[in-house]
Amino acid sequence: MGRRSPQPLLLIAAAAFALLLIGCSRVAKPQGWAPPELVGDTLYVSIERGKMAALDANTAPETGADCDDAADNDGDEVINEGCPKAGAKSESGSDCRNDTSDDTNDGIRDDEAVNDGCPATILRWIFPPDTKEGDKLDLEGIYGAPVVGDDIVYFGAHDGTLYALDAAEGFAIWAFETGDAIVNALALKDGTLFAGSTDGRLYAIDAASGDEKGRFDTGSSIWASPLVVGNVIYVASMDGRLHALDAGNLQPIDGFSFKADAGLLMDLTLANEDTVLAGGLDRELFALDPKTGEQKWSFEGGNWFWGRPIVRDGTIFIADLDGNVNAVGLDDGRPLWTKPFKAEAAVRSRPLLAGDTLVIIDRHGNAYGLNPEDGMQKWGPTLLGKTVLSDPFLLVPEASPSPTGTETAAIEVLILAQGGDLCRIDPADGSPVGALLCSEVPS
Amino acid sequence: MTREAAQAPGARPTRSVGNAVMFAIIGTVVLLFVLLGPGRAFDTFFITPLINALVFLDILVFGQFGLAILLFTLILRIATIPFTIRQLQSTRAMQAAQPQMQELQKKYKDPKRRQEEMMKLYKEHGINPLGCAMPMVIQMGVFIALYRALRFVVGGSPESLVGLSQHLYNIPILRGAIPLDQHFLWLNLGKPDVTFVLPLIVAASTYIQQKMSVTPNASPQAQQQQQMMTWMMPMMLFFLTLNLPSGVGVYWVASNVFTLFASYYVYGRRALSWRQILMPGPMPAANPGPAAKRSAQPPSKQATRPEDDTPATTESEAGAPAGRVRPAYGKRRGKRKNRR
Repeated sequence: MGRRSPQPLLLIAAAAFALLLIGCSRVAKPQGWAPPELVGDTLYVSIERGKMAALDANTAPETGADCDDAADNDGDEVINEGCPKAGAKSESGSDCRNDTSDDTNDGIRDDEAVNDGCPATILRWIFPPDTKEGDKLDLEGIYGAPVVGDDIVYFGAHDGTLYALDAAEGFAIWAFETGDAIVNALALKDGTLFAGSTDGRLYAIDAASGDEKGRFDTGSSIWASPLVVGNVIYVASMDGRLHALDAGNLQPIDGFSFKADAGLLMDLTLANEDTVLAGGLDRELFALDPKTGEQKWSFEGGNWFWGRPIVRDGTIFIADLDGNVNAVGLDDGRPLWTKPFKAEAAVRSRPLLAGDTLVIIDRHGNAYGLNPEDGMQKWGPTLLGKTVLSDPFLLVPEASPSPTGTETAAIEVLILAQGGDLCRIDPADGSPVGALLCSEVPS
Repeated sequence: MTREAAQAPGARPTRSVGNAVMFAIIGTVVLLFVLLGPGRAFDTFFITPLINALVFLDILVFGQFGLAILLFTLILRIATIPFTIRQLQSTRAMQAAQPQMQELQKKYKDPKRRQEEMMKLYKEHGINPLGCAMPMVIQMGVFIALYRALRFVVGGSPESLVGLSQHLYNIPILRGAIPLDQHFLWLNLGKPDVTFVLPLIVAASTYIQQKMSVTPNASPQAQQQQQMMTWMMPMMLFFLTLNLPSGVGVYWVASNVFTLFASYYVYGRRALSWRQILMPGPMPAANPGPAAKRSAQPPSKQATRPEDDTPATTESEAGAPAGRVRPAYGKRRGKRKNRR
């Protein structure tokens, strides 16, 4: 009789280890965190990994007090849609796709409300489309907010390509390939698109035709969104340099120079006509003279600055990847709160001012409402239960919301979670808007 | 030569120190995992230091992250070389002791007694079963930690860079190196190699390494199992490499190459011959290598001529023909003699 060998056990253990490793830990794919962009009644948003969609924002449901009556308060010919207890039953899942008041899909109308309890928006188109041809196109992930101009939607994707889509139908008008991934937003000025790529080049592209007009090589990769001010375009690179270029010919502006010790990651922000804000890996927020690049002051955070700051009334609100939220004086860079607010996790998304509440969303999906005056917590955390790296978006009724996030009559904050779910919270108290806090957009 | 004499002089104290170090390491790791929780402990004591070490090595090799992985592998393997050498020596001793082990299997039907005798035999031949396991444990631990570290360091997505920000120490020189260049040779180190070249190299190098560490076994069942392992491990690693970042594959290949050199040091040139590698069955016990020639003379002799050191009493008690318990190469030598 032979010796009982431990080999089968070893083999089973090795096989289990391999299966575990393959099954649980494949290479992490880029997901994207492009924030939504609202133009007219259409919300352009990446609701799936590597897909851009146009949603009908007019189907926004009634909320709050509007749910207490049986009237069509928002004039969309639907009563109490989206209200938690509208009709006998709120629709959900596939019922949201039939655009009828037949909640149970049995051919009988259940109530007067169409798609009650469904997400706020309905899909108009999605790119790439869910067809065989569309499936062949893998955009990998979209990180920068789409830019809309002349009925064309422009955005860059992680596959390194710049796409121009018809705003009404969603078909591709042209595409422009760069040398590497695009992980930031584009800038559009006078019919020219400026796109920074991680191949290190800033491309100037004719917005109508997609033809290249010029390029500028920074010598390092570009992660931060470029900024256009007048006839100057600013582009930051990961070697810590900030370049100021003539927007017409992409030639460097004489007399401008700035270099940080580490990569500039944060989207460049114009705080006022005398100050450009930049920041990144060296944990410093820099206030720079837009003409010379001279540093006016710097503010040190707890970790990298990635989320774009917002500026209101001489105060800069900024969060870092350690979850510290700070209010900094625009004039001198001094902290205005006695201590920073500390979120539970890293904050990649920018803060949002909704009325008198500063809304902060951390990476783990905790939403906080702060008093912008002193940084004290007003509400939260509201747990979204999703990873959030995208900038929150303010949806204002009867008015076109502004990306600056400084409206005072906010009714809800839209938050795009990883995976494409749209979360909606009331900035006044952090409560969910509608039947569900977060829901998948029906497609 | 008696069994007592077969033991290398000074082997016992060295083994004791080695075991003490090994148990101290395992104990410390277990304690930390219990105190902090597995996830946090693994992150704090393995992933984060590894990430920072890799970034630092990347700076040393002028931003070539592939070279940084190779350098890391070299440093790690040199640091753990006592374990590796012990493993190889244990394997060699195991090869030499196979005939006696077979005899014990036949002689003692009582499992307890058999186990006792087996342990005695292990002691006499300087075999340390733990010594065999430790390098494998280290390898697997590093493999998992490296995979997780690479997801952050060269993950290839902005999400991975957000993750990296949570692990990078607040040292300016490290921050200045971000983002790391992901390209090395034809590979993108953060993505799987779709050309199949790296997975094939990983599989081939693992196969060779497996062939060199196979213990000759007279039992057909055990031989079959060993053969299966020799093929299964490379195949599994082939599919793993197809799914994991290429950087992990680069580490695995470099590590295998290091083991090949270590095997040469312990086993000698014969262990690396093409015939041994291509031979379908388990590899015969090899001639002693430079290390073996310099030290541990008695076990080396056993490896060369195991039948010489097998006590006659044991053989006669077992009543088995000597040829059945000889390693494969012993059989061949016998046949050649007959042919002559």
